[in-house]
Amino acid sequence: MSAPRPPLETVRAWVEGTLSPRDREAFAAALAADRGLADLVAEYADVHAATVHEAPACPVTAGTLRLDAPPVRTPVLTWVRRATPIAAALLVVAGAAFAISRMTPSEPSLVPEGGPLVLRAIRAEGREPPPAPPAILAHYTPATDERIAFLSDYAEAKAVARAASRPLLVFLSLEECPICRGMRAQAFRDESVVRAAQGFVLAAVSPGDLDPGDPLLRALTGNRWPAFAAFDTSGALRREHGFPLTGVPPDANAVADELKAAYAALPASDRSRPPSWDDLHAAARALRDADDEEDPAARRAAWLSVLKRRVEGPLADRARALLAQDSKAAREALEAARGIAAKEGAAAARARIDADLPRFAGTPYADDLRRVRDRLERDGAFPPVVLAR
Amino acid sequence: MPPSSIPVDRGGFLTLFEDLKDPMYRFLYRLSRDAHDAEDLLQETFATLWRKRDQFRGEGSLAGYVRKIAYRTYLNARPRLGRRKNERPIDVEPSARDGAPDEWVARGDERARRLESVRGAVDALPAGWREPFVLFRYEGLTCTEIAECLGVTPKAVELRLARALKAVAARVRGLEAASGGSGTAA
Repeated sequence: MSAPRPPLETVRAWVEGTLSPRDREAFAAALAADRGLADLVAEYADVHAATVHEAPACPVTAGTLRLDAPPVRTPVLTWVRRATPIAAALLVVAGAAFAISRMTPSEPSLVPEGGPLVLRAIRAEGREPPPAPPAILAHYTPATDERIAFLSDYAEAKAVARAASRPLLVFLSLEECPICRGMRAQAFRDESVVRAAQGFVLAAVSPGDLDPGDPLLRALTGNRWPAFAAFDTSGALRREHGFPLTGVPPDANAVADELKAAYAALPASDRSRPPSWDDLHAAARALRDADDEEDPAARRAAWLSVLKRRVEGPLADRARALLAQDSKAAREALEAARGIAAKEGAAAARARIDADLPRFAGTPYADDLRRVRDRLERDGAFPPVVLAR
Repeated sequence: MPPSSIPVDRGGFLTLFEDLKDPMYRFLYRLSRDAHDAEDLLQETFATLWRKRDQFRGEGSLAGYVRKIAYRTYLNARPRLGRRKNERPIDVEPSARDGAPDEWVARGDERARRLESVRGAVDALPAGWREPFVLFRYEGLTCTEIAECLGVTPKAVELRLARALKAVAARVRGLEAASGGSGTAA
């Protein structure tokens, strides 16, 4: 079934007398019943009759047609004219996007009296922060004094690796083993080994400290000793390798090759731009300092400094969560003031906010609390508030 | 009847030209409102068609394809056409075939004057209204064909046509009222 013909086409056909007899009959009936259609027909008929303009005969013949004439170039001005509206539209869109990105929540004075107060900092969310990183992360590096250095506490090494989002390399060995001592004295001081170890957190573990069923011990089967085992950042074992027991310590080349093989066995995400040790140290120190800091503004600045470092992972998560906890504390202060306002009146609520303010001094939460207090004073009632997003 | 593909040999192409030149010339004349401009545009249209003769893929009618090229040629030329100062008068002789109103026939010169006045109203329409009106009124195209040619939607064509029709009808009725005429002439 074809699409219905637009009325104007039918009207044209009616006026020009090209409708089929059947259509003509139907159209005549429609015309009699529809005054609007009759008006349209009259209008078109007037225009049709008054626009009889014969075009002159075409003077071009096949003989005078120049088929090989070069194409007429579109003037540059025409291109400019065509491009101008597009360029203008792009500029308007870019300008609008820039203006929107610069917009800040309305000032309270712009909010109608009695209307909601839009908060700028106090948010709805609040979550438990991940555990504090081990203190040693503030200065740990896999190599010191031009030799690789192992953490002797396996649990601590795992915590460092988790906090630093770095893979963990375990050296299964014994302090009193002469082969292991030989490796520490020779191979572990070699430049190629130090370089190959930079990507890992290193731990030296005695097999006696592991459960008998620990998968790490597989590396020691087949008369092999000592051994390395590599864990990725999610804690999954990716490679274990024991050196053949020959009575002499493996040389630096064998150790460096094994460290490189262990690193290559990690997922690509663990190998692509891990956080630098400098950033990790600075972030861990900032978190530690913030824990000891009394001044709310300085504490907040320390958390924000963590987020400026390239340390995505548990350290950044902890900083974000601690910031959110401050927001949660401010929200609780607000709720407490609201409850007091309902029971004891606006003056008591203002006093409560004043008492809470020092806890948030120098932070944007204090600004929000002060704005609520000002509205309490102005309106004599606790204002409706919209939490920041 | 024009062929369904563009002949690649010069002889076949000239035959195609003979088949299509009159409707295309009229089309370009209506758009440009100048016989000499229409002649130039026709030359350019068929020179373009000759250069691109292997690009027609048989989608739609060949006449529609040529009309699209002609329209684009006109669009490209419109700025320079608009700058021409020495516009030449055009032939205003009415066509007996179109059946003019009796009272206009009786009044000879007056009819020509009215036709010229209405033509002025059509010419004064914004290009966005005038072009669909010309294609609808003189080329007999459907709204869908016009939409294809102009690169807009059929709904947009209907809307522009309705506005153009209202504007021209107002001019026609104004003339009727001024001369004490009767109105509908169909």
